[in-house]
Amino acid sequence: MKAPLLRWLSPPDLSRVSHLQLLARGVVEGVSGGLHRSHHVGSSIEFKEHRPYVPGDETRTIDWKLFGKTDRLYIRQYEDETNLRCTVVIDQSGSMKYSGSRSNGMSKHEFAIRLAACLAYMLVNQQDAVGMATFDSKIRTYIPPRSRPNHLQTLLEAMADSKPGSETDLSVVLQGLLSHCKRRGLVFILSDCFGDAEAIVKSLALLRSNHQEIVVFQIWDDDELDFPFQTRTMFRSLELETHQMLVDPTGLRSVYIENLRAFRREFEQGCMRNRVDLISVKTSDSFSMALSNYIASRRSRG
Amino acid sequence: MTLLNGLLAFGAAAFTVPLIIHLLHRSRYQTIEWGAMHLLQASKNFNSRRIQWQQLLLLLLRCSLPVLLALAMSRPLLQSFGGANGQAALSLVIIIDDSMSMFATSHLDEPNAKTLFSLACNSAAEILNKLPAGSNSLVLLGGAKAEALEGQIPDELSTKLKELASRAIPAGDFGLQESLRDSLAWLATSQNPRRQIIVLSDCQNHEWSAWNSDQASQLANEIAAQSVPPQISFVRVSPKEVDGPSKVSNLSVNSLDAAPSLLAVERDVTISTTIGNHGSEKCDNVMVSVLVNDTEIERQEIALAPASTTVIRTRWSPQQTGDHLIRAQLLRDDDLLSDNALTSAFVVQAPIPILLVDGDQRGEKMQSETDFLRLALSPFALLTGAKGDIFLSKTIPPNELNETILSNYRAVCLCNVREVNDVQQKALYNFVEKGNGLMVFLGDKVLSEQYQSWPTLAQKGLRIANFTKRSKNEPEKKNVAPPANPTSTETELGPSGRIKMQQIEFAPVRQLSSVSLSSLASVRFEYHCPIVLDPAALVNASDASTAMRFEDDQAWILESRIGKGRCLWVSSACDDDDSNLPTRTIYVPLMQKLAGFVCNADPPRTHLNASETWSRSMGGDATKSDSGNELLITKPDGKVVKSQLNGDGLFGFTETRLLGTYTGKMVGTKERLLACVTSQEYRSAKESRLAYLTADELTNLAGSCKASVATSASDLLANTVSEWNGREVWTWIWTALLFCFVAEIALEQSLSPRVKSKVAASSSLRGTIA
Repeated sequence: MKAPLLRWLSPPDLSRVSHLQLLARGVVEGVSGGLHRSHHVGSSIEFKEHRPYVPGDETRTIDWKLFGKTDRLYIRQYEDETNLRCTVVIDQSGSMKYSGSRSNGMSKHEFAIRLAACLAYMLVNQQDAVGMATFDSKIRTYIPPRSRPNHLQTLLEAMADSKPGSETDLSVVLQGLLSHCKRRGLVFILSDCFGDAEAIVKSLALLRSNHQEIVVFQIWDDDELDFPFQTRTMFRSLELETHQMLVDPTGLRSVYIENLRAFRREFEQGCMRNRVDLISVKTSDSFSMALSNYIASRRSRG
Repeated sequence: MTLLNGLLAFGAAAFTVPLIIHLLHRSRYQTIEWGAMHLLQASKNFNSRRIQWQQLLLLLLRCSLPVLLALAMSRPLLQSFGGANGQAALSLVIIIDDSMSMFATSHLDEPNAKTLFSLACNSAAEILNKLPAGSNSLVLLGGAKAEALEGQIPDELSTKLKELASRAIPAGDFGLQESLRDSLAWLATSQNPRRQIIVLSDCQNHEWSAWNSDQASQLANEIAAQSVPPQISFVRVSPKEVDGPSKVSNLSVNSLDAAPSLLAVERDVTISTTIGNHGSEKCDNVMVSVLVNDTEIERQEIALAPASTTVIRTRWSPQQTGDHLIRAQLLRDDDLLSDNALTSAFVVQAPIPILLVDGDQRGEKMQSETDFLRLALSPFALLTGAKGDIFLSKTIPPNELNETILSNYRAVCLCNVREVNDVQQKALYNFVEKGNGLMVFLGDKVLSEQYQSWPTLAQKGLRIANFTKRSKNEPEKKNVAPPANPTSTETELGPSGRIKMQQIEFAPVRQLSSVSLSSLASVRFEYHCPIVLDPAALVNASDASTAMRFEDDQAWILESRIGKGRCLWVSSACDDDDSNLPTRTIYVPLMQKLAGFVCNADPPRTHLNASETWSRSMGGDATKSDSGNELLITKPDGKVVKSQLNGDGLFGFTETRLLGTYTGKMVGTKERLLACVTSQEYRSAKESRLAYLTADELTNLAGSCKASVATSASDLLANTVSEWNGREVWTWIWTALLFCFVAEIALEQSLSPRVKSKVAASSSLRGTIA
């Protein structure tokens, strides 16, 4: 049996993401040193500001050169650099089980797992703390972020145990996630985000206000984008077994496409409003390539 | 609705094919486990009802395609809903050309038809049999004056037409325009909403081309002015090869004439028979037979070059008075048998007794006043002692003239009588009033004052003019050089000595030959007794008129009518005292014509044009009859009809449209009245030429009066009957089929995913994702 990592990621994928470095945009709140700015003032070499001395401050922080010039006591403050707390939230609802004819047999859930593995591998490699949550109608698994190298193994095993199948409600799940993400960090949401777009956006805004930087990987299958069906089809819901619909897709297609556009537009605008990164990916694309493209664009944007 | 090809309508069952496919299609579907149900549900809620309707419409279109195709191929007829049995009642006029050319037997490919006419009758009968219920119809025989068959019920008319098909007697020339007008008049009284006129004719060139485009347009306007304009169809019931060169083989007897026109017993008559060859090949060994009263008097063998005529002359001497039938016939068969024989009727009259009253009797030969006149009226009796004279004359002196002697004569000639006493005047007046004739020649013995004292016509007398003394015509004074022959009297006399030759309207003179008339121009009158018509002497202005004039407009001959008789007043003598008339060629025929005129001696008209009224006096026979003045007339087709005589023993018979011999008789008397009817065109042999309009000419003619043309009766039958039973709506159905086909394709395209939009949609989404 392959090692869990190699089960999800091929060597080319590993080589593609091994050199990537994901930096948090804002300050984060880690427990150890790292690449990312911390909101704590510490002893790093990055000068932050001068502040008048008040009794209780450590005297070793006084800038004596400045005292010599100004005859006043100031202390030097330095930015603390800490590691990142990332939480990868994986949708394992029924809708993620869909696998179209152009995705080489890869379901959206598998795509999400591989993308999550890729992220975890990358973040652990840069010694950031990575946690994971899987959800459908509620959070089914939660692994708090750890930065230990062997934590990756734990994450991958949890991913392997993830089975898609029931209904989802992303907005409720995101609100539930608030209790787990109390410290500043980065949340990756790997989902198709099917549901009430307005409610999801509200939940994202709530999470965002909780000092979480959010990146949503919205995973699509090609079939969901162009609805290519022509013959009379019975669409059976992947989430609710009793929900099925016998339709002639040729007549529905144009309205479906229009509805899809409206849904995407509303979701995109909501994400933009709340400064949530929304990356739409397709299962027919390479997840590692999608990830590397995202990180590259993120760097270019600063 | 009726289907002409009903079997093909079963093809409509093919509508089940798309229906079955649709149902099978509905029962078969693929199942897909789908995640984005919320998007699908919204689409379905939004679009499902519209999609259902579109699918239903598509199914309907697909089902209608085979139904419409089968319907179109089965040739449905849309019928009016107003008529019985779903068919609209129709008013139909069928005009059948029964002129002579329709009795041709050439080019017939119909086994049951002997002639074109029988073919037309059979076709018309068949058309009538297929008329919708409740229809009424009129069958007009269009030759000469159009005649309608009795009845308006199609079944009855059909039976009559089948009987009529065996008729071999042609009528006069086809009057297309008159027949159409009669048809329109009849249709105007019709109550049916649909009206049609069908003309069945061989389209003879001379009959149809005479109908020019203006007349056709005028007729088209008349048709358009009808409250319900009828549809007109011209049907050529004719040989198949009408556009090719004429290949007729036809000889005809064009005319049969006898000379002289006044026939008398034992007077030689020359019978001239004109034979024509209308074919393109020479005809040898043609036997021509001439018969008088069914007895052959001449048989000749002749040869005729192509498109030529020849005249055969036969001499015949009547042996008894009365009506005679002379018939010339060709003893051979050709394309048109009806013109191979021609019959003419002639009346040989007994000599008419005429009394000559000589006012200047002398002992010397040819010196008496009436010598020239007697010789002119009875030349055979006086010169050879033989029979043959039309008039039997007797000369008496004026004092012997009385009522008793007058009763034995038909006419009296007062020749240079000095005076006539009152008793004689009264006797003469009564004599003329009964229908006899009087001629008065005024000479040098005439006492003009005594004539002037006669009672006028208004006073129940004979005088109609004012008389003056006899005068000598003065020579004309000319400024020009004297003539080459100074002894000739012709140049010495003025206008009062010459007859005015222009605008001669006097019938006895107009009937003279041109030779005789030219000799009249050379007659010179040295003396005459001027007579001037006195309007005051007349009761009506039409009672008298100036018949002939001198060049100075003085009267030469005055004509008057008294009762049934006629009087002629001649201002000159009848011998050579006043003029050189007796020495001229015209003298004998002129005197005979004048005598015949006053005697009413002209033979009854026996040569009539088709549809001309046959009028003839029955004379004494009318009084002998005890049948109530009823005359039985046998027509050429053997039918006997009755004609009523008027009080004067005259009848007028108008049913003379058939060409042939008509005979009449009073009940209890011997059949003796004869008339032969021909047509002007027949005598000019136009009908015998068998020349037809070309297809283009007929089409143009039909176009100018907005009529349609059928190439044959069978074509008309096929098309017309289908129109009657209903309008063929295959064009509508083909249009609907095409529309359904296009609509099906359009709907199909609108429902199926479009490649372009699919690519565009995918591209836009991918672009967004990227």
